[in-house]
Amino acid sequence: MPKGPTARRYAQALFMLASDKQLNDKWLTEIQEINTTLESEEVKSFLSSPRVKKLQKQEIVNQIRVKYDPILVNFIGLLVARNSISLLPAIIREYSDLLDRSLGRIAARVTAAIGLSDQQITKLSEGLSSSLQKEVMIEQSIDTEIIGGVVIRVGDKIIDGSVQTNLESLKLQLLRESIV
Amino acid sequence: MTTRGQDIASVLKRQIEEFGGETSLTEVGSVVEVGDGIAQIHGLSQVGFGELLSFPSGVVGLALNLEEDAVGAAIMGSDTEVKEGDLVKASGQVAQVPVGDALLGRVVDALGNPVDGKGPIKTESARNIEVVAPNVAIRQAVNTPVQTGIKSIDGMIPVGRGQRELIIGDRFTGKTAIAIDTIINQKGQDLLCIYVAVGQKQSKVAQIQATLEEHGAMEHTVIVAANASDAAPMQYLAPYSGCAIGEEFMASGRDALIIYDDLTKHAWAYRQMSLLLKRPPGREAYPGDVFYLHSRLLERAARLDKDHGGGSLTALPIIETQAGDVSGYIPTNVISITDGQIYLEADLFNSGIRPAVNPGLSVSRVGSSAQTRAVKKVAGRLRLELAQYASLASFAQFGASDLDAVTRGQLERGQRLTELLKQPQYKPNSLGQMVASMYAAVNGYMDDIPVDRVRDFESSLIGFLETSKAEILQSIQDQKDIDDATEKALQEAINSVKKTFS
Repeated sequence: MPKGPTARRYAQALFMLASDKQLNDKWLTEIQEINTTLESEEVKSFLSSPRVKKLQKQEIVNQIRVKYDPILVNFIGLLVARNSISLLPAIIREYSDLLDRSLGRIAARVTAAIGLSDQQITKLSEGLSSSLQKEVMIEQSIDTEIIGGVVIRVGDKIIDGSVQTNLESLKLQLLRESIV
Repeated sequence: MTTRGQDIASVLKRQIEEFGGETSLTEVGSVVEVGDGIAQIHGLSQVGFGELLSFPSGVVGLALNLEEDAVGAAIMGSDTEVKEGDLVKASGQVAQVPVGDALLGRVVDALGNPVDGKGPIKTESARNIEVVAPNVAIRQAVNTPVQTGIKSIDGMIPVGRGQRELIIGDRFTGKTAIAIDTIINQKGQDLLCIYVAVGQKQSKVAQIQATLEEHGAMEHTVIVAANASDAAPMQYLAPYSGCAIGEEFMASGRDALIIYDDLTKHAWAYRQMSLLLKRPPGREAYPGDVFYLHSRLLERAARLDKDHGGGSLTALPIIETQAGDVSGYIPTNVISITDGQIYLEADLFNSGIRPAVNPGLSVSRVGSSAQTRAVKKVAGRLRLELAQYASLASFAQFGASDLDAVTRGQLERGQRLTELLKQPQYKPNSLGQMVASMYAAVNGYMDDIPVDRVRDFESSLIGFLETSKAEILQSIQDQKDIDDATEKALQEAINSVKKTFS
């Protein structure tokens, strides 16, 4: 069964609860923390192992009850009880997407061959914000493979201004056109 | 050599100068799963149905299943270079194929790329592979014949321009031969031909190309080949591509003929794709829309009215049956879509009646209105006499001695007509030849010629007409009718041939 839709439903339910309580941002950081705690291989295999009794799993989950919002702990407990704890990373992704959307924000990943200056980043973010009509949060990454220029990825869209892609398409164009 | 080198350099220089650092917004996704020529892609949330996708390896794909989380795409080529995690780009356009006169004489694949090693094809325009068929308002009735050059077809099962006539029969009954003969007969005429090979052996396609070249028929022919070794999506697309190429000819006011060889394999390719795309299987594991698969293809055959150029696209789909079973799923589908069928029988083929057309089961629903007056005059009685002969023949095999004279006459006539309709491959008849020999047969001029010599008589008659009475053939050819003077001259010619024939 595909994971996508299931994770989305869980994320939607959690987000609705969070919105009721106005705790959207806080829950995101908390659940990300929980995820890092649970991420270790041992905990993961313990929680998803069919040989471990559900009661034992619940005890583990209960140990974090003091630190986090009880509803979040319940949520984790529910996932454990339904053997769906492996969905947690996907749920967090969906959750943060929902949060971004509700706040009119959008994440953009900017890839360049060299580190961009703050000034360049601000300029990019302003340009993107005005064209997308949304607040753009820029995430930077460096990839020397692209040689020069920038590649901006926003959701499923990509604006490819890299030297590498341009060279590739030049190559294709030259190969296609026959010499008269 | 130097000039050529300079040419190349100058072209390159211009191209590099003109090459702008164009950037555009592209829709992307990543490959989640790939196998059996199908890729599941995450992302591509704005992609359209049937849109072309490009994979990093240079292979193109076709977005076919748009789901909430993933896009199912058919890979048009080798899937071995597509890896999980590959970035897939949407092209923003649906599949297109280059069209135009430059394609004539060429062999192309389902996307219009040349595969005959004769260099690139320079075309000015391209057409969408999938389009909606011409609507009722711009069509007109079929009224001009397609001369196949095959006596049994032009005589009994005439095909009109814009018609869809199915050729159906078991393996090795001469289905392709009819198609090839029809193409050869268009040499020097105004009908352009497209031969679409779906799921055929490469050797067979090469052989057909060689045959057509040998008979000088490649000049008016385009071959679209998606061979057995090509990916199923290519085989699925080939008929639509061929049709788009034909539609260009039709749109320019010319007449075109397209042969789909064969739609059984096309349905197999589509079944494979659908099952791998996890679409629910129906009868015989074909998907639910397998009828629509063929109906939308064959509906694109049309005869446009004068206001739209008056061009036409005639379709001759081929279906291969298993052991003569015409009640299979795909055969019944295609029979119900087309305007008639030419039914070929293995028994007839093996008993030497070639083309092995079964006159009882073959029909043409609209073709008779397109028959020329000349053929109508001689062939009107042909069908009737053959039908009577068929019913008497099974009865008379128990002994012909005690039959009355009328019955015996019908039997004799039937045997001669059957003999006359035999025709060797790659020897299509012109209209004049066909009308002259059929005239002699139906009017009883051959009744006193021994059955095994009917074909000799036919060839001496044709030979005589061609050498000494060419004006008779020419008059039939030009007027497409037999006027009284021609009829008289023809009768005289037949009688004089009979006198010398021994």
